[in-house]
Amino acid sequence: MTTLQKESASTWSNSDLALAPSATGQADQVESSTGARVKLVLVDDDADYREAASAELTELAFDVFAFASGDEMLEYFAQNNDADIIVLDWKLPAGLGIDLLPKLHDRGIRLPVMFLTGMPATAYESAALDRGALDFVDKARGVPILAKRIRLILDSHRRARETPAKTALACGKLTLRPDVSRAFWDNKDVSLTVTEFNIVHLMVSHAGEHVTYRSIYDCVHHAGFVAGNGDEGYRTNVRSSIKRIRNKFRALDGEFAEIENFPAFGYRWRTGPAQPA
Amino acid sequence: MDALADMARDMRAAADETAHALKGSLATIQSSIEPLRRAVPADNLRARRALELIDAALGRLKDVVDAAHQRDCAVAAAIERGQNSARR
Repeated sequence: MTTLQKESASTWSNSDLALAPSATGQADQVESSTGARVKLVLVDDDADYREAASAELTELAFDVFAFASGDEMLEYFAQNNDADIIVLDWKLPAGLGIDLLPKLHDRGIRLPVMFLTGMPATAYESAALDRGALDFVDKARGVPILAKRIRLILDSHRRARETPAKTALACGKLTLRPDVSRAFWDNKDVSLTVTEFNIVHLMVSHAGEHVTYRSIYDCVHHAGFVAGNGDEGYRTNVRSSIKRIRNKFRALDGEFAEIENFPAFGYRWRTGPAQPA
Repeated sequence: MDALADMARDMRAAADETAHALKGSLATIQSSIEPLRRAVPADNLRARRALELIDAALGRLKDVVDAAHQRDCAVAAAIERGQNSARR
């Protein structure tokens, strides 16, 4: 990161603007149903747009971390920083913003991604949506529209995360009851905490496939999961959560070996797929 | 024939480039007006009117940029269609 970008990232997130209540009360009008400030990563090579849009988004209750390139953004995430949503410019100096999607995916960063563009062509829109972007907004529609669409995406994302499918899942000896956040092994309650239940639910929903450390971390870190030190800090936290979960299953069944580690990548629930119970 | 195909591709790339650059600048102007709008007192009619005029001009410019982009893409598509039918 250049000094300028470092400055812009910290200026907009820590400035008086970010802390001051909006003079017009506009921020209140666009608050999401949860009312929380949103941590937003913006990538755009146009320094003027970055400055103007960051200031307006800050006014509308966003904490903005703005970067001039995809590499700077990846560096930000590599340093164990997080965000609620990523907004990418369609065209960046090193190529298309859309080409960053696989790079984010490879690093286990599964955040909602939106694109900003100057082009009305629907061909690009469908390419972006096909490749995993959640929305595609014409830059010239203005920051208030952008802010509203971000809130809508985040609200639906949060609802999906907070109310996992209510249907019970069965996978071998395991039964998961999302309605009460309880897991049963051979019909015995495993006594998982809600966070531990969410981790197991994530793995079982992808039973037979590996889930990354990052996605396990993401599924719980809103519930007070604190990052450790350094790049690998969150992995240490995920490892200790998995260890606690295994111990709870082993207390019921000494043979329990359903959770497999794939070093440097993540974990998987060995048998699958899960069926509705 | 390949020269025509190249031309169509360049034309589309240039249209994208121009639209992107213009919309970026228009978006900067639009976002930068917002703090001014908040700062202008309601009774300053001349300044309020000036903001309205800027909004209207921005709206027209955006429409012009979109229309020019669509026209360029349509011409590029027509060149490609002509080339494909010449091949057959």
